[in-house]
Amino acid sequence: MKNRVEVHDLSAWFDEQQVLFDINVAIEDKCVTAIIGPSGCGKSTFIRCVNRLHETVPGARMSGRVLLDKDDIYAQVVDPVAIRKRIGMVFQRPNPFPTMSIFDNVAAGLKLNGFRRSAELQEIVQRSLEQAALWDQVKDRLGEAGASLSGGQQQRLCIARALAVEPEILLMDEPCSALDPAATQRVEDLLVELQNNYAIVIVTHNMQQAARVSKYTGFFLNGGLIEFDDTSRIFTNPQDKRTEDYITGRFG
Amino acid sequence: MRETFHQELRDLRGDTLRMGEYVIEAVRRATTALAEGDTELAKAVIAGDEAIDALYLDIEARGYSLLAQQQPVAKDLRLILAIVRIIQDLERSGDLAKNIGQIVRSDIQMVKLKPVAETIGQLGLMARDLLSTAMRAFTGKNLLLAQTLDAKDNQIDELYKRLIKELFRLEKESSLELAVNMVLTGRYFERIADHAVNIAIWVAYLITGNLPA
Repeated sequence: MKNRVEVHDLSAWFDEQQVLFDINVAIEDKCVTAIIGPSGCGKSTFIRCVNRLHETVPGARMSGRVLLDKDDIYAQVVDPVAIRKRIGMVFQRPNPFPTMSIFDNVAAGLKLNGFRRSAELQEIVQRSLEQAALWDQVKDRLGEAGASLSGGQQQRLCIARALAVEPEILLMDEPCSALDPAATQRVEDLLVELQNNYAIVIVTHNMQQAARVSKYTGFFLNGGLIEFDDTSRIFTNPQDKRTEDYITGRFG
Repeated sequence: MRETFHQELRDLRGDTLRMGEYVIEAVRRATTALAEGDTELAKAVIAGDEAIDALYLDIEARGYSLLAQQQPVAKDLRLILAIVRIIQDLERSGDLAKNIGQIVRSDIQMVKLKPVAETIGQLGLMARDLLSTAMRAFTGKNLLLAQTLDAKDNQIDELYKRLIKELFRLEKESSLELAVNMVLTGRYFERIADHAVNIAIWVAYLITGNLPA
């Protein structure tokens, strides 16, 4: 299978504090890669470096290279906004624009990118909501506020919003941590669907979730990538004692 | 929460070792009862199987609960999977020791047939040795020790074949019933050794994470 993203010697800092140390990893297309590790281990910073969000924090910087289809996304000529369009992000807390309608929430990214043709917009909004498994529940209330949806629906609305701009890679930062088990299961089912078309990276605190949905798992600790392997191997026979201690609950 | 789980896991392992000791002792007693024609000892082996079966059911139920409730991974997962397999082989070995006890109780006159009796006694010793080696490998997570079982089992298989040959030679002086009982006891010991080999296979899985081929 083809690698979409390659990360070489990635280090990252907040001011003087280094939070990532020489990360090397490849993200495969059309599958889910899970990133696990204790709080503060650098996993969120890692995915935020992959779509150039890290640099939006004052005092934040990075070194190393991140390649999207072999092209350096940090090259001088590259527009970070264009990168974030190709590499979408779904955050921990569902964050729909609260006063915007469901329709406008999904269309927001396209409109921001100067998209105006309304018939096509309709089509893309519907397709995105369908992909996010939300269409049937909202098709008759597209004009209602995004905030009127339940938490799980709001998160799927955010996923639809991310999908609307037709990204190639989907990054998810603990997308289910604010959801109940039923909503979590729907998002997980969605991931299984979406991986047919996208490379997905999911940061999760829930190890069972990583075990359930991902093909590969990376374990981060203290800013380092300790182990990266097939998920089945990580959860049955990890090679590094620190991985084993973490996933079996012996620390962290 | 995780600490409670790890304590339960240690208890489960401890009870598996205890079950192993019970079964090894049952095999030792069955061997002695057979060699000495001791029907009282044979009855004790038969009665003792109940405790082994109870322990088996208890460990198995607790193992499955831990799987369902704690979603164990990595070495914890492998330990529980190995245990639920190992106790099956221990339980079967306990049954075989009981079967031998039943044959002795039915008054097998094996002591009279010296060379054959010696071979069966030797089979009993070797089967017990294999079981205790397998359980020592489990206790110490000793892969090298677990890997010695196969070669030892081959010796037992050879000895069992020799037993059959010896019985043919004794044909004239032994009754058919006696001969059958002797073949059976030899076969039971040989099966116990096979269970010991299975245990060693699960010990190797526990250590390496590689499923048996």
